[in-house]
Amino acid sequence: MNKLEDERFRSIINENNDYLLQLSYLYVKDWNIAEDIVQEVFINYWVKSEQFQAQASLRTYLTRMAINRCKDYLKSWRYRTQTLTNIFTDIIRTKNQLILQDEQLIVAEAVLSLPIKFREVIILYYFNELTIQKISNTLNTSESTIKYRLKKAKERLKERLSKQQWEVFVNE
Amino acid sequence: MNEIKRQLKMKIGDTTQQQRNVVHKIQQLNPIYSKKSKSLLPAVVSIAVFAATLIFVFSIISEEGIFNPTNLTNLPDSITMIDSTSGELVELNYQEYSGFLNYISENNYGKQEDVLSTLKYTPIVNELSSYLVTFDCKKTVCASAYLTLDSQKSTMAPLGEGILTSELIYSPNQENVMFLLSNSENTKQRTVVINFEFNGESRIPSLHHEYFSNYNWPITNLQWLTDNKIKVTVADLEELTDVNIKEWEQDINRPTKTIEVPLP
Repeated sequence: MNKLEDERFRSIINENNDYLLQLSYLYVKDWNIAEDIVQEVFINYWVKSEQFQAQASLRTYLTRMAINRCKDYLKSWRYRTQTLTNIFTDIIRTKNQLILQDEQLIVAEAVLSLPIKFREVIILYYFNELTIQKISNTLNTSESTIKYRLKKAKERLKERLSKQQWEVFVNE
Repeated sequence: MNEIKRQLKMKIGDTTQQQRNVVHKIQQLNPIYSKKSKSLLPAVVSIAVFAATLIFVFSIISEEGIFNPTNLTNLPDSITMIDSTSGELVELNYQEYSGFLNYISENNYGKQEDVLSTLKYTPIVNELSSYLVTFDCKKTVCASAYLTLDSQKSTMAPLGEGILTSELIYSPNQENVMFLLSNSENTKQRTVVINFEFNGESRIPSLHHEYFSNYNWPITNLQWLTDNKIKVTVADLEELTDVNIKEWEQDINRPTKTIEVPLP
């Protein structure tokens, strides 16, 4: 890597690191895995940057790569095995009261407990504030499917949240 | 901000450490990765997969280690932390200090005994009992956190590593505090804005997040414009190389530019 390329790569990392980490964490719910995925996305982008077509924005391109890797991970044996160990980690965290704010994050917990195909549309629509068209483009799925999943996801959230919490959510 | 976004942002918290970890992982691979040596890619991927497997296996082993009662014993019921300027002492019970202790241990920011013996604070002026807490980690830069003590429930918001290099600047409505943290060389800064209402949640905007999420620029001044907008004065540099930053530091004029940043 020459100095100029190195600077450009560094600036791409600086601009997208936080965004991709947050997104990946909301998919895989594990910081170590999210870090690995984001690192892999950057490295892969660097290796294949010549193939990057400027029709899509760089952020969309990186987002798509990160989402694909998150989904690959969620399908993998590693995730299935790790899910078991996370039960113990949760116990430790509760005991140590490390995340004291969690008790108040009922809506966030409800979102994170949704199956991935519903969770991802909620994340992309409400958290990343992407339009239906942009989500459709990022996930390479039709707009009508995205709208349908969003509707179903909201129905599931409504079931999981109490009436009062749901009203706070829908009134926005 | 919608409620889902607000809660998910709180759940995620400050990603400074995770960002640093990603950069560190990339730097470790960087000497091998090169556009001219794509043939090495399969080998590197295999090594990475192998390494990831090893890390995974060892992480399970180390998680089991947390259950070892020796980790939880010998911790005092209470410790004291000292105001580094006035010398005033504040006593923290186990519930109040254990969150910070775990945060330091989990991220390898320092030793348990150093946290217990050198805890110090800068008081935050608000209606709560809030403190900016850090300790002597025996390194140039130590980690800190925003701590609020309450008889019912204490909260802690991690702030990552950095040296406090500015005054605490309160918003006009006194509901937020803003300050600068610097890197170990004191050449680059990042902005921290804490909202008292949401358990010390950091207000990191999507736009201009680069002045908040990492040490990228020399930041020379911060100013509140309104309760939801700040003015950040940064070094006027086209390329953020270490050489350019050094030249900028030696320049008598030190050219700067100001950016207005709306906060979420």
